[in-house]
Parts: sequence; structure tokens; C-alpha cells
Amino acid sequence: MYQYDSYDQTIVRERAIQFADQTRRYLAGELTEEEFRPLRLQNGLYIQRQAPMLRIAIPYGLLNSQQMRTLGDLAQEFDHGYAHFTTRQNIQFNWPKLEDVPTILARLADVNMHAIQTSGNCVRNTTSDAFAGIAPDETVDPRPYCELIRQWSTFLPEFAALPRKFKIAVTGASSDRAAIQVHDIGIQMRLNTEGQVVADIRVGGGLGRTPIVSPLIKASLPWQHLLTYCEAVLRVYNQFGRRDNMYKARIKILVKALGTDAFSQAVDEEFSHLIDGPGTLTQAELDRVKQHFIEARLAPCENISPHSETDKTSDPGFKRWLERNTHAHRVSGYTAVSLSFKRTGIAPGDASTEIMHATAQLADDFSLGELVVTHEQNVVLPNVLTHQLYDLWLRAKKLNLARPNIGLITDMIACPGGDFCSLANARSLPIAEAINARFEDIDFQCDLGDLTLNISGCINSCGHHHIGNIGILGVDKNDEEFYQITLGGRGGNRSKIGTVIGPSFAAEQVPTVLSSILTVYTQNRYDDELFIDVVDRLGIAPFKAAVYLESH
Amino acid sequence: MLDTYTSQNRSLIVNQAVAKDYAILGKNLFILNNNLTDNNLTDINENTVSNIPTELETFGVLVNGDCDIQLIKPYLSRLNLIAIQFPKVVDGRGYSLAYLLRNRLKFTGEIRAVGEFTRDQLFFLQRTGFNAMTLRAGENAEAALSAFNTFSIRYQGSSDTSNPLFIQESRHA
Repeated sequence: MYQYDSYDQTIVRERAIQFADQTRRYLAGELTEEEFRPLRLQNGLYIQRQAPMLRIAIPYGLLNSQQMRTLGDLAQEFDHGYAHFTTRQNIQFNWPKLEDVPTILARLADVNMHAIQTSGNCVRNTTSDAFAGIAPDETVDPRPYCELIRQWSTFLPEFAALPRKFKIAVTGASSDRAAIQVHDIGIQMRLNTEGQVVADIRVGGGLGRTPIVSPLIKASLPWQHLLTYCEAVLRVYNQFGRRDNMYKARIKILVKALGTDAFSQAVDEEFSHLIDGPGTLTQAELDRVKQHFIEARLAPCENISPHSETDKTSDPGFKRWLERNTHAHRVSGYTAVSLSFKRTGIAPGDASTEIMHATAQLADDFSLGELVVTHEQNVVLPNVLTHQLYDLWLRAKKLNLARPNIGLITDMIACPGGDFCSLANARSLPIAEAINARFEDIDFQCDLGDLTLNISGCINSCGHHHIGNIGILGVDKNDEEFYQITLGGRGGNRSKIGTVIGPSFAAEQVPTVLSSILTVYTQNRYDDELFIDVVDRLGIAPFKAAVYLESH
Repeated sequence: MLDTYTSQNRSLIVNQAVAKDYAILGKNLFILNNNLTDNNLTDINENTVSNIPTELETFGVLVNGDCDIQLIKPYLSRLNLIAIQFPKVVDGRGYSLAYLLRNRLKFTGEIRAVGEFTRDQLFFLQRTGFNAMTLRAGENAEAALSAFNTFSIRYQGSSDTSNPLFIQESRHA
């Protein structure tokens, strides 16, 4: 993975010093709450229900074992011994003290980490495909480009106070696992017919109150122009994005208001001043960054099938784990493994200090010290030798990280919800736990097959409920928690916003409602037809009929 | 006129030093676009650009961050100061305006930030093309100067340096 040079190291150290001074001035009364707010936000520090919440950047989800250990240490020393992986591949501490944050940042700087721009109205952490660099369907490794974007977007002076937050996602695979169609900028890297690296750029996707699948704004942009083109998009947005209403301030509203053609012309006009200018990426810089990503240097091994590992045990659980939690690697002899952070009794994406340390050890023992935090809030060990899968499974199982539920109904995405977040209208975690309890039976889960279920505690949609095959949104009705259900949402290449099925439900009704929905599916599917395909084929009417018939 | 920005309890920084002769620097400032949101500006009407005396060879204009550079262009040869107002610290349009003035109109006179910001924004202001800043009332100017050195590294180009870090030879040594 990318190793900081002295420049990168200097900048995160200077940031820690800057924030220590800002915190000191705030605590001494030299900065008002209003003045301090944008400063702390751009360091990922929110004031939450219980305590401040600190979000730490994990650029494009990639961590080394030393960084993971440090996160575990910090959780123990400055928090309640656990942390939470987010849907944007970051990690959040829920209980740090404000006065400890400068120390935490300094400790992070020691291991090439930071909390820069993890919140606030600026360019946020760039996300990517959890299988970047190893996926067989990938033609361009997006990570060097993500790292170039990370550096370029760090303390981008002109765009330090945008109308609203700004999120960029990049993929280089034919199957989009980075949700690029629902980001402010979604970048598809690919090879053109001449074999050159180009980017297709989408602008103006997003979830929240106004969910929009982004339109394509620029096709086949040569990679050298990636940063200058993004600069042009941001300059247009910074000048013309709405600032009068925070709910209409995202770039998606501007793109919609101007229309795709007019917006893209405005960007092209701005880009015409920048093209081939000093911001144009160079081969030398791309090569410098690229050399840090090790996968290309993995020594190919004998190409054995993961299933040959089943000779080592008669345990049917191992076979199921191989089917659900392992993923093809493009270097022969290697397999990628998902450690499931969706366990009964534990909030989705939560990790204790002990688990963070143990996960770091697994990375050292099985994956050349590397880990990837996924958009689905799990952790991937990207470089596991296929002949070590059984050994890894035994170890992961002891840690309760081998639940074979990747891609199944209990592999749900959930925001922290009303238990932690001051924005939430309702709690997410008790709903997640009720679903876990109802659908605990792994045979039943496997029979249902691939299905995405996303829970958001409010319309800010951190749980991406709009693009879940089943989406659950917490709403507030007269100070009581209710849950609205959407069906038919999709992520990936054919991203689609789900449809609300009708009036919302009380928390205790949700598992039964889901059971009704799933019964309609199992009664109507053909052979291996997926849940989402049945919803697409039948529409929501039969599901709606079943749900509201039973609940009334 | 425009007392808000020339009062003595607000320091003015010019070219990364505390300016001594504050009053002169604030003279002959006219309002160019009329949607300024600062309620303290009570004398807006007398100071609009339509009232600029023809004999005045040079003057300054006060604009909001959303001002189109095309509105400024006709006055460019007579302008020695463009003051850009930040109505709120979170309204960053003024940064893009300064960038465009320096890079598209090649304006070399003074660009001064006025309004709602603290020393924490000076680094960004300086980078995007501001060479002067009226600090908020009570801000210690000497202490604020250190903000220009908050970061010794600049990853990307802007008005201060057009070259990003990645084209520096030393990074590839």
C-alpha cells in the first residue's frame, strides 16, 4: 500500500499541531462555538448525543496491520474499547474527549493516518472498490488514482468551504462495487480500445432527501486530466451551488437544475482553461504512487481451487464459508477473504479493541499485513494463499469473524442510528438485531441468496437504504420511532432508487413485515432467480398486498 | 464610509505583515454588486460604483463572493483594490472569485478579504490569491500571522504557486 514520504508525513504532523492550537483556543474561549464548528468538522469531529464522535479517514479503505493495531489501541485508551466501520470505509470513535483529540491525531500521524476532511463541507475521503487491485473483473487498479485524489484534495484551499459535503468514489472494475453512481463524482477507470487508461466521469449522484443516480458528464477522459477535470467540476459547484438551503446544496441539485448538458458545458468551459496546465498528472508521479501497491508484485503460486481445501475437514460450515466469504483473486494461488463484522448481538461494523488487534494479526499471518474496510462494513483480507484458507477459517471462527453471511440478508448495512447520532430520527441497531434474531438460521439465509438490506436512522441515508434491495428508513412520528420500507433498490452498475411500499411500521412489526416480503419472493421465484429480479419482474404490488393484508 | 472594514479595532494584514496605515488603505472603496448581506453597511447607496467621480484615477471596489468577474472587468485598469466580502465563514465563494481574478483577469492589485473569518482561514485565503485580510474585531494580528505558516507543504497549485507538489523534482528523487 501507499507509504508516506516526508512530504505526506509533514502535512499530517502539521495538521495535528494546527488542531491542537485550535482546540486550545476554543477551550480558552478565543474561538466561539460557531467559529470552531467548521474547524472541528473538517477534522471529523462531531458533537453527538453522548460525546464527541471522531471519524478517521481510511483512504479507499486500505489499512496495514500496524494502523489497525493503532486504531485498536486508541479505542482502548481514549474510547470505550470499540469503534465502528462506516459505509464510506472510514472508522468512527464514539466517545473520545475533545481535549484528547489532538493527542489522538498525533498518534494517528505516527502511523500515516489522519482525520482530515472526514466531515464538513469539503472534499471527503475518496472511496473505492474493496477488491481494488485484486478483482478479476478489474482492468485498471483504481488505488493509485485514489491516492492522487487524496493528496490533491487535502487542504484544497479554494474548496475549503463548499456549499455542502463532496464525495468522490472510483472503480476500475467492470462491476461497480464502490457505489459510484450515488456519489457527487463517480469515476469509472477503464482501458480504451487503444489500451490507454481513461475515465468516465459521473457527477451529481447521491442519496439523502433527493436520491439521484448520477448522469455521465464526461466519457473517455485521459487519466492525465483527472485532477484538473475534478477541479473544474468543483469550481463550477463552488460558484453556483445553492447556499440558501442546506437540503438543496449538494451538487446533484445544481446538475439537475442546470440540466446535464448545460452543467457539462459549464464544466468543459472551465476545464478548457486548465487542460494541459500544471495540474495535469504526469507519468512520473503516477509511477511513483503506483510502485507502492504490492499486489502486482505477488508471486503467482500453483493455481489450486479453494474447494480443494475442503479435503482438510468434514465440517459443512467450512464449505459454506468458502462459498460465501471468499472471492476470486487475479493472481493465481491467492484468494480474498471477507471477515464478517455482521454478528448476532453486535452492531453492524462495530469492532472491539481485541478484535481490531486480532484482525491485524490475521492480516500479518495470512495477508501480507494488508486489510481493506469495505463499503458493506466488513473487513477483507485481500491476499490469502489459497492453501491457507482452512487455517484462516479456524482462526477467524474463534474470533466470531467467520459467519458465512457475506451478501446475505444478515450482512446488512446500518448506520449507528439514534443510539449515537444526533441527526437520527430513529434507532437502527435494535432493528438490525431483530433482523439478526429472526433470520438467524443460515440455511434459510442461504436459500434466500444474494440480497442487500440497508438501514438508515434518518433521511441523511448514511445506511444507503435507497439502494438496498430492501431499504429501511427510520422516521419520527409524533416523537415515536417508525420505519418505512422500500423495495427494489440496487447498487452497482444498474443503480436504482427503491420504491416506498406504503405507510411505515412500528419497530416490533419490522421482522414480520420482512418475513411477509420474503415469502412472496420464495413463492414466486423461478429456480435461482434473485430477490431483486423478482421485485423487478413483479413490481411492488404483490409485496405490498401481502404486507398490508397481514398487518391489518 | 464603510466603517465596518476600516475601524481601528480590526487589524489589517497586507502581504503577510500587519499594515500600519490602515485608513489610507481603506479609502475610495465603492460597492460593485449590491447583494452584500452585511447589515452594518448602512451607506451602501452613496458608495456604489455609479457614484465614482470621473477624475478618480484609481479606486477600490467591494464585492460579494458571488460576483461575476465580468462585472469587474470594465473597471480593471483603474482598480487598485478588490475587497471580497465573506458573509459567513462557511461561504467559500470568495476563494474562487479571488482565484479567477488572479488567474483569468490577471489582476495584480490588492485583493482583500473582509467579513466573517478567523485566522484559521488565512492560509486558504493567501493561497487562493488574497494578499490582504481585515481581521475580525479583537483578533490579535501578530499571533494571526503565524497562520500563514500552518502548512509547509502544498499538494496542489493555486494562485500562490501554480505548480503542484508532484511536479517538484525533489519528490521523485
